Amino acid sequence: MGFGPGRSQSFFLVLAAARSEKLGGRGSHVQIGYEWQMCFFVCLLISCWFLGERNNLETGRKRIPSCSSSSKAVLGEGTMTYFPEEVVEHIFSFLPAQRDRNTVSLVCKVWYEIERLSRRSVFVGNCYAVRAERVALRFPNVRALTVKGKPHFADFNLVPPDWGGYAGPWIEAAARGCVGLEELRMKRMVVSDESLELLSRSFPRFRALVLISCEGFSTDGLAAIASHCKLLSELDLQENEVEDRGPRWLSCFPDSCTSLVSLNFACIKGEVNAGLNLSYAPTLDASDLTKMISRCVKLQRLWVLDCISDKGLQVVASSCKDLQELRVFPSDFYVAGYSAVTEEGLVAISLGCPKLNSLLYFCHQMTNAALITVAKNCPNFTRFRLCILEPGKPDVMTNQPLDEGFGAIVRECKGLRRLSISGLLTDKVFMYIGKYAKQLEMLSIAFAGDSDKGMMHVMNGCKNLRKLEIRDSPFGDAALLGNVAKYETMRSLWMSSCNVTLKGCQVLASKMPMLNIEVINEWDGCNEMEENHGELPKVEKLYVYRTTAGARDDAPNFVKIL
Amino acid sequence: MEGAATDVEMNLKATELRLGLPGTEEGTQKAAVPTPPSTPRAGSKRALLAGGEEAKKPSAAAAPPSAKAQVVGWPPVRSYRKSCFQASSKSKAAEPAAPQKEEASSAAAAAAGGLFVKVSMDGAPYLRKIDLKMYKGYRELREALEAMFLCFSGGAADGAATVNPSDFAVTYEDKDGDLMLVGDVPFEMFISTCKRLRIMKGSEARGLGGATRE
Repeated sequence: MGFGPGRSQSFFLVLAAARSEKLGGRGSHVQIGYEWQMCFFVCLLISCWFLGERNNLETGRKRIPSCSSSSKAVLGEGTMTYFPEEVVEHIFSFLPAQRDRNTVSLVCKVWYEIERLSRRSVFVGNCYAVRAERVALRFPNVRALTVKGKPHFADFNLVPPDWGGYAGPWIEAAARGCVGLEELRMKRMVVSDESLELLSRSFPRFRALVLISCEGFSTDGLAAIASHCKLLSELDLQENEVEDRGPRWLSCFPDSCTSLVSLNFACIKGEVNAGLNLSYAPTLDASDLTKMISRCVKLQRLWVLDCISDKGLQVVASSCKDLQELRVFPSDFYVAGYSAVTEEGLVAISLGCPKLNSLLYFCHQMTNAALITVAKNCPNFTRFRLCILEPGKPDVMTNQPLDEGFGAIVRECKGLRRLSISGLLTDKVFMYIGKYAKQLEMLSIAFAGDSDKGMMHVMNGCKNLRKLEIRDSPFGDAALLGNVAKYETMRSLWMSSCNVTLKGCQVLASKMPMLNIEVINEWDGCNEMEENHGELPKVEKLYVYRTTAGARDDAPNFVKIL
Repeated sequence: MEGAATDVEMNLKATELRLGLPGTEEGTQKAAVPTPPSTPRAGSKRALLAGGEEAKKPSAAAAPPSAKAQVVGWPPVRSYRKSCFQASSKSKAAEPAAPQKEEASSAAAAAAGGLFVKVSMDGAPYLRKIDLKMYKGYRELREALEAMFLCFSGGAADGAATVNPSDFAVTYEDKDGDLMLVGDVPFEMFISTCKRLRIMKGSEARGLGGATRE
């Protein structure tokens, strides 16, 4: 026997410790040593597996690799932890990314324990994917919790009110089990004043509250936060539906409040140095606007209205060389309306701003040629969202579908993580997406595709897909059921006004018990199957997500969970 | 859904449903009436495609372009942003063709189910028009009105709202011609009966204003 059970992994731990010392500590150096650390952990995993196997052979029992209590820190057979917990914990601190921490927690029970007790930050992408109590029990020392509720299309009124996404259970569970909580971030959740009151009284070290697109609370709830959170340093409220009961809540901040550093409850974001949000200012004269922007040469993020016009975008392109994120919002929502920005503005931006990696662009027309040019000029896109206001509108010059244009985007932008497509699109664009968009995590589809094949290209090809949301596209049961195992690797699927039937959903539910299949049929109020001239009734809205929590018990009567 | 004709009928029928009071036509009884899909299902859209028709989806040919403006949740813009702009977009510098387009689109939109009503404010030199469909509830409507008429209220410019809600009452004229206070009936019912809005100021309004809560 070449090396004993403790020695191989001790070798790697020493390597890691040496490496971490060299790097000088946490935080900023993690990126540099990242590959080393992943290597290290892979080696550790392998060595643990070997040791586990050796244990099995010796003891004659088949069991998963497990460890004796690390408090003994004993050299010898079956011991996985040569070093004291504190050292292992310190090594884990170099892995802030949740994905990596989840991975190391799978190595063995001791590591699971060490990891969960030292976890400081938890991200829950779907509040119904896991029970709040379970999270609180597992991570009692969490300091920063992020929870997301409703699906993204809720922003556009596609999710009926009272669908769910209640913050109450999360705040209650945290109040019981995670008293060291300091930061809470919630997005698209329903937060009550009672919950805010509970929040304000349960966490003595609470210092940051961020609520984005939430609803269900009033300024009274904010008053509770202001009054009782003595250490509050950040209060960030963006685009929430807050019932305004007057400005009294503002005076609830105690006079001695010296901790508040960041307060953002206007619709204008506060980051004026690196970014400029002019998207709520339609009365700004276009020439004044461009004059101002031409002086902002360090601008990294710009949100504007389409009143800026193609000319204005050319000014941006020639002035803002550091621009990384651009959002151009529509000022006229009618599909037959008018917009001063066209594909030309986008091309100008792509020529002038090589660092551009994030785009949201509303316009009334686009061409394949423009998109191909943009793709060549800006291969660094990580987020590309193009919304042509008229559903199904083709290339304005050639009258062809925009398949080639978006195809170029996914082919050139190898790091693309988020994509929204629009205009006239056939199954071909999905073939391109499935073939090239290997890093894609989120895809939004509306009024696109010809057949089930389209969706299947995406489900089979996009290895990293996490969120898929589709509306008004001709994908049916065959597409839904084409790759059922895929749903286990994704956070969620949304389909509305497509061709999926209740039968298809039932089949999916029976094949995949770890998914919640939510059928949302508002029009009926209840979910009786209508025998509609023998035609299979189509599901109005479908929301599928993986979960360990089983069917949720707070669903309204228009939601049927299969 | 079978034929093209049925689809167009379905479309118009769907929009009619929205406007009906309970008991009239086939109006629904529920308070929270969701807007029925006013765009033909994707599958049936394809049913409209005659064999070999290329490029443009024919539903564009079948219905006026602005009918598609009634597609639920489209364009994908948050309702907060939309309601800000329903109020202010009409005040931006007019493009040469814009006034005509607005007329055409409001006429067409009204035909397709858009609910434009005039809004007057006592003392203001001109009236405005808003689409009641764009608002989910009374709060949004009120915020939009406040934004729209801020400049006439004597409050500070550039958005610092010094308007005192109790100095105004938002009233409306209903189908019978009576002047009613906004806020008493469920929002959907209000939308179906409101013919025009009037914002009252001053002594007439005292005691009535600030009362609209959902």
